Amino acid sequence: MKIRSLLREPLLHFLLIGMLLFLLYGKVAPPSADGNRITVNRTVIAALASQFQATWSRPPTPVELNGLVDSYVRDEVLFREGTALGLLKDDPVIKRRVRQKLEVLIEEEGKSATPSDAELTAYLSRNAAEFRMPPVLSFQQVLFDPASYGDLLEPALTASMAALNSGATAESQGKPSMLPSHVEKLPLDLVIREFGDDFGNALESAPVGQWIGPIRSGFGVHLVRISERTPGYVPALDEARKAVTREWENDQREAALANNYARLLKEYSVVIEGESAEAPAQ
Amino acid sequence: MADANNQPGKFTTFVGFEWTSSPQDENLHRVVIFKDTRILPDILITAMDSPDPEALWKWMDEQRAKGSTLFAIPHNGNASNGRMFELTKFNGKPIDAAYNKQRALNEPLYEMTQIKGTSETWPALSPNDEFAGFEQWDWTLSGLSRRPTNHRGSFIRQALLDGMSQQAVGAGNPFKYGFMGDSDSHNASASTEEFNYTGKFAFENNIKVRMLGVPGASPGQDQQLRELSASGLTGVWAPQNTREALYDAMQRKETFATSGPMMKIRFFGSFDYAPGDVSSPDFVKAAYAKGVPMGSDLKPGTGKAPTFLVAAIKDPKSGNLDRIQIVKGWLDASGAQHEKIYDVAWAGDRKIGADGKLPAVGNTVDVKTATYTDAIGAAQLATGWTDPDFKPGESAFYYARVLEIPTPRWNTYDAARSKLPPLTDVPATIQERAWSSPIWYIPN
Repeated sequence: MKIRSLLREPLLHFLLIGMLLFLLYGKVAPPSADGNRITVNRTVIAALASQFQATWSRPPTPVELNGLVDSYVRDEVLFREGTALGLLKDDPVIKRRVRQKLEVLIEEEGKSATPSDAELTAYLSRNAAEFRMPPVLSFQQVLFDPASYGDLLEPALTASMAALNSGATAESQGKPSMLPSHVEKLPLDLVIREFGDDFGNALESAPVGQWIGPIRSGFGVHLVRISERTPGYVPALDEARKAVTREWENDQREAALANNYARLLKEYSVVIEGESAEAPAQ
Repeated sequence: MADANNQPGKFTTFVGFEWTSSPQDENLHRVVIFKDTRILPDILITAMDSPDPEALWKWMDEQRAKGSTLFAIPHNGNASNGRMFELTKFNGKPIDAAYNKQRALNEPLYEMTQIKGTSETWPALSPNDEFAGFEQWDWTLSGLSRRPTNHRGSFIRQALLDGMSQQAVGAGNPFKYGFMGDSDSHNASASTEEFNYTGKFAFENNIKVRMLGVPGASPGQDQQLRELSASGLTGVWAPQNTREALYDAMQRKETFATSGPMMKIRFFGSFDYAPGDVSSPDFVKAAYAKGVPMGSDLKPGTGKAPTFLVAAIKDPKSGNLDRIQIVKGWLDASGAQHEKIYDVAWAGDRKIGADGKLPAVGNTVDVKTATYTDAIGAAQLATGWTDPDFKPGESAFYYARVLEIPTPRWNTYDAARSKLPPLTDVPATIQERAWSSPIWYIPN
């Protein structure tokens, strides 16, 4: 369409006249009171009442409802006045809150449908170390607290080792203790929590099926017999589905935030005037 | 989120929220915990809805009526300026039977140790307790670093006595609390040990901030941060590590608190134990069969004194144990309150002196390097103890307290690691400890 024919177009004339009228009305009309009107309509009142009901398990009394409405109006008046004074500007709490709200929207938007098994399996193998199951240990132990043996520690260890090797039970050796003498199928990380690092690490590679020791722990020294040690492994998807799905979803959420921010940041030119500060990564 | 991360047997999660009433910066905070996520309220009560704990309990009663199972744990009474266990209601009227009943129903446990200090007792309230004055963090929540002027009403030991006094006049016991501890840190870290301390707030993650203070903060605010305590933890005796088993055990107060380390403590009471029962290999099983565990009432007796079996084992990553004590509080025939502390088991061949006190265990801490040795103390302690001062007509509570040997406080580790001069206005060493929930004796 040529310019000349466009200028003859009646629709354009109509739009231009409309715009002129609109601008003219804005100049001559009396100032509107709408900017200072606060309407507390039935929907607002119902929302205030139902919020109260949800907290207190009963509807508000008329006096309480009046109080809620008064408080709503007070919020509106002071918020509008404060906004007009520019109090929203550069307030870190408000910025953080608005940022948080937008990030929640972005995270929700970035949520994809249920991941496929193929996606989860790929995620699991990419992050195998994170989902690795620890070795599991079953063992017996006898504790010797050096504080209660003193110089007799070495002879006590030697005598107990001999007794255990000739079939004595773990319970019959050492002194009564709150530590269990039999431990069944405990993952290595929990062995370390219960007995300390030195002990757990020693049991990870110690021979199975015979009494060994003394092995040091934070409690003292132990004689130990490992009856079973299943090695650590990376689980199949079905075994770790809950954890893998959770971590995958978290990954998606973080990626949505990062991608979205990278895209938004491109719309801005950021000038940082400090000496040591660096521009944010694009 | 709680459900997605719940791994029964390994890592149990609960749903909860904090109700943060702090009138005049006096701390009345409660953490509310739900047993499961089956029925949860759509909206929570906040301290802005009402700062009155009775409003919270009423709200909780309503949730219970709707099918939720929940309790509240008040915390940090030491920062309450005497209000946590005051004998008046929020509106200033004296507490009464209805108040006492509702409080006891909603609050089985009290969190007695955390990063903002330990509220077991206060030296002036317990003048004969040589180990009072532990990590007190004697401040209110005021941003102007205001110290409390009232201490009575802020500490659990006095509250246990006041609770028995209420019961003695027929009003029921409002303060029948079991003990627990937690970090209350605000930086998403679960580190409660001196050697892995990262502070309460995110900015204290920087070791220089912990040692030198926060840029722009007042001297009082910096002192508040230095007095923060690398504490605490809760131990729960439950048959399984699941929501249901842990919640039930907390509800029946079978819990203990520690100032951070993972030490463990067993505490049982009965009129039918022999003191030597604690030495039998499977004493715990027999102890349950013939008596009650921490958090319970003694079963009725025949007039002879009760015996308590107590055993403790150290945290393999922390110091040896110094001693086990039993703290007893009781009302005499006239209703007057008393407390006494008995040393019942200890490491080494120390003897109780003429002054009735056990000599100190010693101190192996090298402050310069922030190290210590386990050359003193013991890995575990256990004993049976029969109350020598028992009177059948006097109501009493008993709880066990276990002390570690001295180890470096967090500021000592920080000084050694950062090569900054050590702080001189907080202790260099600390005797970490654990407290069992009480066992109560109520005369027939």
